[in-house]
Amino acid sequence: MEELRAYLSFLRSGIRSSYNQVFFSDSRWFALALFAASFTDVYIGISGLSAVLIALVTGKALGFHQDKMSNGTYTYNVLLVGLTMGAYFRLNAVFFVVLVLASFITLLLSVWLSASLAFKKLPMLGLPFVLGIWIILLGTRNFHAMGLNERGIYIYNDVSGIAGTGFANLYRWLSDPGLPPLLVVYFKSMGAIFFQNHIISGLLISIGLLIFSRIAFSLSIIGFLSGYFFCTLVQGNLSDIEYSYIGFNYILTAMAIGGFFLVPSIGSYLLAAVSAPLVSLFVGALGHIASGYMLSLYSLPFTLVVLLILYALQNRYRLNGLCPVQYQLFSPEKNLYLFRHYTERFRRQAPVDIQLPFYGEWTVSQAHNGTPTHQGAWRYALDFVVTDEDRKTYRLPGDQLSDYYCYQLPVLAPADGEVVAVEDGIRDNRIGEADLQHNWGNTIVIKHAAQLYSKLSHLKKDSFKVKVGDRVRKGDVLGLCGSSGRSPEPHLHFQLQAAPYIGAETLDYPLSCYVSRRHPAYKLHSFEVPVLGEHVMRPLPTPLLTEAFQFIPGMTLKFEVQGETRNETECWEVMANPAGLCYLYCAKTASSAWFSNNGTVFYFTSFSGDKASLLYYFYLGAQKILLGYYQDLLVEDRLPPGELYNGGLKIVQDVFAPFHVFLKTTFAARYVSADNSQAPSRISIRSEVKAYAGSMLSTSVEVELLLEDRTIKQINVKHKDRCFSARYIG
Amino acid sequence: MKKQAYERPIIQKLNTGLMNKYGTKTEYEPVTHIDGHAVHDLLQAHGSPLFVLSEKTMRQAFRDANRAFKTRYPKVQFAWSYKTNYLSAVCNVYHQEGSWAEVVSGFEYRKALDNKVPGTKIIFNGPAKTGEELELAIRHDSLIHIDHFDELYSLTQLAENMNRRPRVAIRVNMDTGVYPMWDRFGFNYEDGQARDAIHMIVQGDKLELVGLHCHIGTFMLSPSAYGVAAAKLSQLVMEVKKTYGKTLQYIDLGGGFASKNTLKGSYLQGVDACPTIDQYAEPICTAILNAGFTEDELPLLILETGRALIDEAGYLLGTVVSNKRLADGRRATILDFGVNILFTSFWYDHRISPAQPFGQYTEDAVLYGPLCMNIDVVREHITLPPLKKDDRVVVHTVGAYNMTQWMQFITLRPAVVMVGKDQTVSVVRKRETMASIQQEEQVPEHLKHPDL
Repeated sequence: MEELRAYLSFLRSGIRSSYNQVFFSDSRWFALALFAASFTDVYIGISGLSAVLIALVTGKALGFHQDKMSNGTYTYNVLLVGLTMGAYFRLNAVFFVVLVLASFITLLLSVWLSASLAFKKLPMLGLPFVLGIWIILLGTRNFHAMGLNERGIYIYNDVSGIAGTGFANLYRWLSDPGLPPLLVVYFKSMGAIFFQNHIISGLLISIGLLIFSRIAFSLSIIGFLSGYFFCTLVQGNLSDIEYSYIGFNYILTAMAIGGFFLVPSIGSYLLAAVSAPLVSLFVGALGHIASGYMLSLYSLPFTLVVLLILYALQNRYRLNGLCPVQYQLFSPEKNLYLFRHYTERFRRQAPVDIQLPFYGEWTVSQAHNGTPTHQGAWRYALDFVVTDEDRKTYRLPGDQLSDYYCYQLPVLAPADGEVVAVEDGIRDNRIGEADLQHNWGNTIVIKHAAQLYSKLSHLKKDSFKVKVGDRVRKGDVLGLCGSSGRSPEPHLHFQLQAAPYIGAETLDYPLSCYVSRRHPAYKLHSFEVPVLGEHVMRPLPTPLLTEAFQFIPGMTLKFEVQGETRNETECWEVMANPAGLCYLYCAKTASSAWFSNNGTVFYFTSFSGDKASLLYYFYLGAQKILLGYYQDLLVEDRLPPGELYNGGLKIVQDVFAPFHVFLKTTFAARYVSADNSQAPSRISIRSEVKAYAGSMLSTSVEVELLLEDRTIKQINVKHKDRCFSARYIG
Repeated sequence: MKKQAYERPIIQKLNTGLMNKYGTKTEYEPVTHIDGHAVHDLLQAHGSPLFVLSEKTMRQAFRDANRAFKTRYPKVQFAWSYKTNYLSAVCNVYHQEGSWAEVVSGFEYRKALDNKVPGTKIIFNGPAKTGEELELAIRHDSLIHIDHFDELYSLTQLAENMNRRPRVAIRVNMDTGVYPMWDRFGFNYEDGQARDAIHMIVQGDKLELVGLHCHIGTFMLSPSAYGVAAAKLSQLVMEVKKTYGKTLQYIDLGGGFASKNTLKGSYLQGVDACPTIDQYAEPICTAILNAGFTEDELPLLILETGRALIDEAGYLLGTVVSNKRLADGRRATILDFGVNILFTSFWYDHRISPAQPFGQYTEDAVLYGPLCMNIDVVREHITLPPLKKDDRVVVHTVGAYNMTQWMQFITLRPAVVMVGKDQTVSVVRKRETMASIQQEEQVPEHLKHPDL
């Protein structure tokens, strides 16, 4: 029984996804609209559905990848073949025999092509469909039992025969409701994607598309118009667009290029508009070849143009404007918002966590591109000194090395690695003198990864605690700050480079995180490079924070929600997916909050599920947490555009999203109090998530996290009229 | 032309020959202003003598010390040593800078509570805590540093009675290679007493052992001794971890850093002889970093520095009462303050500057206080320009211990003012009056009328 239910649910999702995949969507409602649209010609609908079912059953039996079966990757081409066959042939017993073969062939083609194109990171699009249907059409020419469909010829007879004259009149009116010809062509082209000739089908699909995605819808119009006007301009055969199932090529190409495989942007829109004339050329060129065999092109022009563009774009040296979608969310809006969100958040995230190489608070005395020496090949270097309240680097009289605050301070390893070069034995200069003979002074180079080395210079003679070949761990003391080499006063020179040599060219590489102080408050910076004059610190984890946010897969957290109307409990389980990404899962509300924790910073990356759940509020309130306590520390971040926003402007935003995002949601957490800042046993963090439309505050959520006993003891939430608190109960 | 100030003539012996360490001419500059305020005006407004504290200097000293340690070691916490100067205004300057409170008596403990220091940020030291005081500290969840076994027993008993788990550390004394070795406080490291105490605490399971404390001496001139102490305590922390699987949170190295004062009998001046705060920080931090902790395990380093943070911020202003010639021919100058309020003159040769311009001649002198007691000597030898009656003098580096150890003896104690960071002068302790002394006194009925 349970198995049967699972099997049915597999079929359901397989069918739904097959319809969805044709339009690059994963929306339940859109699938329903497409499904309905495919049934405006009942026979076509039946044929399509049957083909998908056949493919799903055989595919499952043969043991193809379960996910690719149920998310429609392998079956949407089968659906198209089924639909086409339904449109071509009369449905009889032989037809269904051939249909079984056709779906099987197309399924195999899909498996083959998707696997082989995946090596090139390319989608197979409609290739299996075109190949499959051509094989069927050419292969069945001698099958005399397969009769051609004649429904299209006597359509009104058929309709009035089935449903009466009144309905036939309605049907006739619907076929030609006096719409402008351009619209009619558009709707017919839309319908043609599902091999429906009727305007109502195109209308259904268009409405579904609009509801599913404003970006996709606008792209469909752009693609269509661009193709249409190009044909007009070159005085091509306009009827091609409407009658030969060609028009939809323009639409699909624009959607694929403009919003699905590329992140929607002005550039992608332009490319989408330009690609329509390309499609037109392909239609002409390929049409001549195909017509020799009396074949139609179907979606071949679309497939080839998109593959051509995507392949070429992947082989660029630099991503200029047009960014391929890395992780497909099956919605242009979602792709865009996630892309924008991640580029804002992790723009400069780098694979190796590099941290500041010292204890306590230092000041940047020369930043990237600084004068006088951080120039040219050495422009991505940082100089640090220690300053007092008057921004002086020394105590009076300042003529001795030991008057300088940073002199002889420990210098630490910025990350784990191996010492690959050490230069020692150069005397510290007297104040004001610079040893240009030994430019870098006493220097150490550490290898952290292939082509990633850090170099620390001007150290004190004979102060090295490590030697070449030693493995060092992040935070190990390497030596003491000195004033050797080109150093008129004690300071620390820090740079990252791609080569293991002293004096190598610098690399623009961000610090994974650091804390800056602008009196009196601290601020967390992630993936940034400190600027001139900034007072910076290397964050150090606080045990309570580290322990409270240590979510190990398998662990559960149970909270009792109090306040509101009744007490209820919510239980989160820490899960991990096969890729090792972790999330908190609340079975009761079917919500997941994905997170990441690198030992210094904890942050959430995405949420799906019930936005009234405690987990959602925790996701909001702990969006980003530095695992070290600094009194009054400010942690700022962004949430995806439109998160938490509940106004009607969201639809408008979707339309304009590729050009301008005016909905924004900000996160700010403040480390309010701790019983003691050094080894706290109680910490309170107050965070606020604010959703803005333009500069107008739309809504905000306040979350207070109270940490105690190595865990998140309490979560207080204030959101509009909701105000409740949840207590950890085990 | 400005009229030259009158200076009485002196007879000076001429020294010929090589330069000698005494010199012939003072390099003293008159100190006419403190933090922008004229000595004359301050005395006029608040009476003589007068203690003056510079908030700016206090904060500066704290920040220097804080920087020196925090740039060498990642987890550092200062705790203001109340006994050094527990005027509330002073304590709060340090608390504002982030210091916790370190107290050694119930009185100081309550004082810290009065200053709104959270109980968890009070360190309770001292060899003579009463049961009642311990109870108070337990209730406020303070860090209690156990000094001896009897205290350990009574604390265990209290914890049981109160059904609380006090956070404690033990004070450890040890040989750090300096003389004298302070072994009267705490449990000895070398003879195993400290380990016994730790064993009792951990196995008894009534007290939560959170740290280790030591305080190796006072006015310590050799920073390396702290390095030894830090290394030994780190060693003990590791042993505890290994033996009991227990991670101690902190190492408290106490205080004892020298200020810039000159100890009596010292050949060099304090400024030259005393280590800088960086010189103390260096061996301490290096010792802990080298002890073998991983970065996550590094214990918090607590410092109870008092003197080095405040001594230089304190000045005592006074007035010359009279000059006289002693029988052996030396000049003696009587000032209106003595050992009663400048208690530290028992062990320092304080630097004293005239507060008005003077000429080039100086004379050897003895400085006496106003008390009618032979012990009242402020400086036995000092080379000063000739001072007249009503001239003003400034005593430097008096911020530590004087405002807590001063005596109400023979005379009343003077006012204390603080020059704020915005240059405003505020009285932080009023000049004592008859009433302030009398109010505590009670006279039995039959003694109320002396009938003289």
